[in-house]
Amino acid sequence: MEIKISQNIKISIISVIAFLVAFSVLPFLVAFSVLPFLVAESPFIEGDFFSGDFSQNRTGFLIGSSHVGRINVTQVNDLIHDDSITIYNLAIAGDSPSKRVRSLEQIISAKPEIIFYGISYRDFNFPYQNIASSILPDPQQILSEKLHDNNPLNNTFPSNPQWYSMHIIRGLLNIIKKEPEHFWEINTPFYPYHRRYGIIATDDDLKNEIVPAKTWIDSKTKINNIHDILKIISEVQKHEIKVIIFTTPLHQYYLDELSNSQKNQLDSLLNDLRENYDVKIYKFEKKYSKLNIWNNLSHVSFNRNVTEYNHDVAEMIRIEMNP
Amino acid sequence: MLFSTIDFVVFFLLVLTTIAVIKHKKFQHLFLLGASYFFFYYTSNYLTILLIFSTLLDFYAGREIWKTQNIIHKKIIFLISLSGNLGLLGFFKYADFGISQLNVLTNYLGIESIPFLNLALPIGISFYTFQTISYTADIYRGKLEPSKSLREFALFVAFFPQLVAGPIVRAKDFLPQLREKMENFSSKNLSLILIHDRNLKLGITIMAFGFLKKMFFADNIAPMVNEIFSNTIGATSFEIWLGTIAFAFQIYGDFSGYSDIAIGAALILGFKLPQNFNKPYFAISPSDFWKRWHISLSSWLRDYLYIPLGGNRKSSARTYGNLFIVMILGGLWHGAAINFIIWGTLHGLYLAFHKSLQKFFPKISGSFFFKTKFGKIISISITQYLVLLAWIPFRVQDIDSLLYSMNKFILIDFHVLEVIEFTFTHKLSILVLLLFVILHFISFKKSDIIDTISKFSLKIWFIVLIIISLSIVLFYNGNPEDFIYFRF
Repeated sequence: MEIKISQNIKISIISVIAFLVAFSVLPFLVAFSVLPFLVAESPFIEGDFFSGDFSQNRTGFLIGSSHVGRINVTQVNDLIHDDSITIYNLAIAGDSPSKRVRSLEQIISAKPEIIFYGISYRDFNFPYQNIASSILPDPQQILSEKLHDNNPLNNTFPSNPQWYSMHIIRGLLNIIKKEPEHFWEINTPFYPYHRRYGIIATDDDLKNEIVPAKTWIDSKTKINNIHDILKIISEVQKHEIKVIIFTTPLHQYYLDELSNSQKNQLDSLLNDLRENYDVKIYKFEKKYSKLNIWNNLSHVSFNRNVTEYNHDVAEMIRIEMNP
Repeated sequence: MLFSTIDFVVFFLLVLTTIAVIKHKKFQHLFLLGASYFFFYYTSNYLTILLIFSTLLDFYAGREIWKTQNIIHKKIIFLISLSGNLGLLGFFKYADFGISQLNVLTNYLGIESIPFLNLALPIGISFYTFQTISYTADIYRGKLEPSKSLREFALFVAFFPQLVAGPIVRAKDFLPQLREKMENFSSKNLSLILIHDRNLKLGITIMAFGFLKKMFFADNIAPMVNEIFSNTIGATSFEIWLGTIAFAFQIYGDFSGYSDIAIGAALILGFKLPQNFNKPYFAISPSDFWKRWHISLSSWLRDYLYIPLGGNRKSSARTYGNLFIVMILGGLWHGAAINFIIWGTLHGLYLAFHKSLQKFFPKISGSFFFKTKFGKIISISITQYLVLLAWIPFRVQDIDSLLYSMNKFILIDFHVLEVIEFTFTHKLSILVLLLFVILHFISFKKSDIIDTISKFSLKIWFIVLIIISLSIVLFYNGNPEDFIYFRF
């Protein structure tokens, strides 16, 4: 029996398929971006790393975004001067609490003694626009909360596809130029280093990067990151793993662009963590703001001669692991 | 609810499905009204009360104006409606600007400053108040019969595709579309909302191009524009030129993209909204530019401000004065700030100058040279130079930076190296900008390009949709810019 499909249905189905095809490319994009011919091969893949044996030594994990990635963990392990301690840098480019929460189980399963979580304004997309509270229900917030907690696709789509697309394009161009530009550091399994991360930017370069702070209108969805960092801390503490929070360093020009509202919002979060979650806080955000050690406004250069950040992180680890 | 979010896609699919499945006229109209209010409530929450107030005020004012025979009564009711709408707009949009200007005076006199109200600007208020004003004004002029029912009028004001950022729709164009026969406005019967395959395909194509303009072009040009204009002092002339051209295309992609999504969404539901943009950067004169840029606003200003002020029916001086007043108020409509006043003043100047040129040198403006290809290129270049110059105050708020940028734009310093270096650090934005310029040129040469694409066979049309969707998805940076016109 022949089934007749109206033209409207055909057009609708075709549009939906086009939409779905475009979105279904995204997971492949992420997978493709880590292929060995684009990035020098990682010594680990995620599953392998966490199934390793960490019981031989006292283990500490550094977690966070590329801000944490700029910590040279080889240098840090040397500076600690304690062979019984091994620190791993589990930074991931573009990380945020809402992404990190997805690999929380794996992190806990590795049973580290301590976790050092590096955070900054970027993790929470501060500042949010103050939306006057209303007695009426807010459907946007209700939906956001419901979808965030129960969304099976949470792990599937990257939040910044452009980063992956550009990464692949650059990688392909490098293949043509035959110049591999990435390398891996030992004990830093998820963060490949680009050769240019070692450059120390000039003051003019840094000035060119200044972009005024932005206020987020869809604040409700961004608040998920706060919800998730609290969830990470509670879960980790439940498994008797100590958590330390540190704020990652920023250049003075970056700090100058921050509004009081942004600063207050991060301060109030840190106070909340200190008072209600009993978490110790180390603040590095202003510590090197005027030094000549910057790769860009929010990343310390990954340069052999830039050691200040590594020294302070090593000191923090020494204090917290050998109190 | 932002068009460029997954929330809108889900919302729109639900609305379409419900309307397609339940073919009951009364239900469809009520459902569309409910959905429109939900759309507004989703982002504006309790501020929906302002939309309801504006709707009720103009519905009843319109009815009373129509009913009463007494001219003075008509005038009084019209003035009440006008002050209600403008009062609402003025209070929420201009109160703090007014206070800041008063504080300059109080500081000078040594009196204590008045504290700011810090009111949140209700989204879409500039658009829906203009829409309701045009309704009562048309009834007052006897050009329009009042709406048959509150439900119908409420749907005209709140119709979700155009509610937040236009196009500004006129009641005489929209209300008949709710009735059974478009040509018979007096018909009381509601029309059945049918989704026709031709409208569906064309509507989806228009929407797809709208999303492409906003999410691929405008959002990827924005980082370069933001960087140039974040700190203009010290920038070279060519950097300012690059920033200005990029901003011109960013705002065009942003706003015309929004309008396209609105027009496409309405068309799928069977409603025709007016065109809002028509290749503005190929305008051959300032007045031609305003026939191509934000057409629904410029025609509103013409019909409800310029003509009532006397238009060009009085003396030349009065005509120029009217143009100035209209454009300055048009600038203020965008926001309560000095830079928008400068933008409006510049456009007022351009229009007055063009008008005087036509009047005093008719041989020049009507000469054969300007009808030739080369003459048109010259006209377009001069017009766009002026339009670009005016975009600087639209983008740069700080007065020192504004003066510096305009100075550098006019007096070129010929420092080329800096801009070459800058383009190397913004390859993606430059590439996207070039692509957009080419697309704009193609659409100028082939004006019905979207219509042509919508007539492709389903297979080819599917490929076009895939290319558009992939361009958007693969280059989405996870940090989208808000629609610029949401601020107005």
